[in-house]
Amino acid sequence: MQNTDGLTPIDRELEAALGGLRVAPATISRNRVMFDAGRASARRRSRLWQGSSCVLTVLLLASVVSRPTPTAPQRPAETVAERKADISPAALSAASTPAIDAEQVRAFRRYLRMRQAVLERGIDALPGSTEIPGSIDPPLTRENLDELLSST
Amino acid sequence: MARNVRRLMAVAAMALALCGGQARAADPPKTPTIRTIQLQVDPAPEPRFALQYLLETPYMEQRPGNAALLYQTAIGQVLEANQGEDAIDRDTLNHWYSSPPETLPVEDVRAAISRFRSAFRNLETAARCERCTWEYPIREEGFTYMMPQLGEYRTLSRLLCLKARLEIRDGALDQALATLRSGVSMARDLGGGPSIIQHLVGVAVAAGMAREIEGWVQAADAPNLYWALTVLPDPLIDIRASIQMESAGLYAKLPELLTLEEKVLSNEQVLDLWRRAAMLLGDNEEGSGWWLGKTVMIAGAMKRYPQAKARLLEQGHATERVEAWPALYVILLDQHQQFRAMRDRFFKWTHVPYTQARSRLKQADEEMSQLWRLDGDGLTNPFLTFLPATQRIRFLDARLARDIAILRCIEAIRMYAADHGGKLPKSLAEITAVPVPVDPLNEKAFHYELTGGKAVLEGAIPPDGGPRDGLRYEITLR
Repeated sequence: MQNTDGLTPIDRELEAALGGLRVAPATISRNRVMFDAGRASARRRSRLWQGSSCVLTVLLLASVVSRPTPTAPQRPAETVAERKADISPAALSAASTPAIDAEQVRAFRRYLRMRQAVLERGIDALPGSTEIPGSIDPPLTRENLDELLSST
Repeated sequence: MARNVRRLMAVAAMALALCGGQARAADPPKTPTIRTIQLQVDPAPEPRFALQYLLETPYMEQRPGNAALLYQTAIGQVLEANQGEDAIDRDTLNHWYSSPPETLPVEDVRAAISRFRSAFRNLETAARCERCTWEYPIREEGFTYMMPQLGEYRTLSRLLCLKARLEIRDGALDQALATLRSGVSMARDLGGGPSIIQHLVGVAVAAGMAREIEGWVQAADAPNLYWALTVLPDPLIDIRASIQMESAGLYAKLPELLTLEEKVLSNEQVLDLWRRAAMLLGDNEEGSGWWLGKTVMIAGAMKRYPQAKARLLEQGHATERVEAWPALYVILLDQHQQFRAMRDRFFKWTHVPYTQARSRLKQADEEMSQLWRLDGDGLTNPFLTFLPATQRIRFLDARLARDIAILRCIEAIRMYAADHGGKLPKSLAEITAVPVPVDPLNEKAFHYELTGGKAVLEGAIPPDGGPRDGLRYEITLR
């Protein structure tokens, strides 16, 4: 049989029992939950690193053990080991003769000569400009700019 | 008949020669005399603001920028402006430059230098630049690099001198001071560059400007430049960069020398290096002549081997190591060490005053001459040839310092006269308002005497120079 509220006595008994329940105080905090979740995640990652480190350590030890015995350091070989000079004409002609830039040789000599000349005779020893009067290009003007640009 | 004519002509020629000879013998011997300058000056007190007139741009008036670029531009402008029929040739310019003020063709000079206004403006700007960096590749090229158009700086400096001379003559003293400042700055910047030639050109330019100051002190009411001259750096022209380049310029073309201590060269490599050194010094450029001509000399070089080996052993090289080296390498190593020692023996004395350096440089010079004599029968050490005449360089530097010091003396005398009712001092010791500089060529006081209302101030003829290196001013007051 059912009452007007549609509840059986058993239901009413259960309702009363449930109504008598008290909310229990929380035993875990949100922060605690989050911390535990993070730790669990990190633990998984640290295991990966621990495993990798172990493998690398094993490999390192293996390489150290299997390393060949070092040999005595090699002294850099001197360019030559001739004891006596060979100054025979044959040796002279065989000597390497890298090409020397003749212009630079002339410039070098010119410097030394000029240095001595200026020391002896002062500023008057300096040569004048090698420019021939009239050989210098005319100054750039608006008029000849177009001509210059079109010629390039 | 013809024979008699010939005899007659021969007798006549002999007679003429004898007469000429007697005439020459009768002439008094021409001896060069000390350079003497007559100065007529006004008394001039110290300016109200002692540092009002300066020959260098004060720091706060400088501008950022590299003066070297402006100098090169000015050179280009001089070359460009000096074109056409009325271009000034070198002889004319030199003639004007060396003319005394009373014979200077003033209007011709004025017209001539007016065409270089753009160049002068660039020089004025350059004088205000806070730095001057010569950016050419001398570190890479060594002695093979010559500053382009260096000779044109002589032209530029003489044009500046003439400009200053005219401005002083016209009484435009402010403008003249600016021109002198341009010249002094150019001298300092040029002479501080990294080659001895450049250094010497800078010294010569500065000496030219000092001579124009002789004109300044004679101008009516010319302000006293004692402090302007005293404020200048001493030495005015820095020698350090050029000496450092001269020390190492050789290595740009003979780089093996730089690593000679670490890398042993074979006999062939040493011969090749000697060949290149000989070519640089002017031997046969083709090389083949050198090989043939120097074979005997190289054989003679072997005479050096025992001494070279002994010197290396003295320095602590192991006997077995030296004996294992190729003989020519031993000689080359010894030569290079000799070069380095001699080079530093000279160059270290460029960093002390001339009077302290002079005797030591002379001693080093004698040692080098002795080395040449010792080398006479063997292979001459080619590297010693690359060293410049350091004693002469130091002398020219000191002579410029003397020129500036004696001008300071003149200004001290003008200052004394202004403070003492227009009277010249009886001795330099009477001048107490400012320090009177001594002669940097001998560290002694300049000779001074008062005779007949005229003051004679003299820098003695220096032992390393000729009579024309002495300097005598005869000063009268207006």
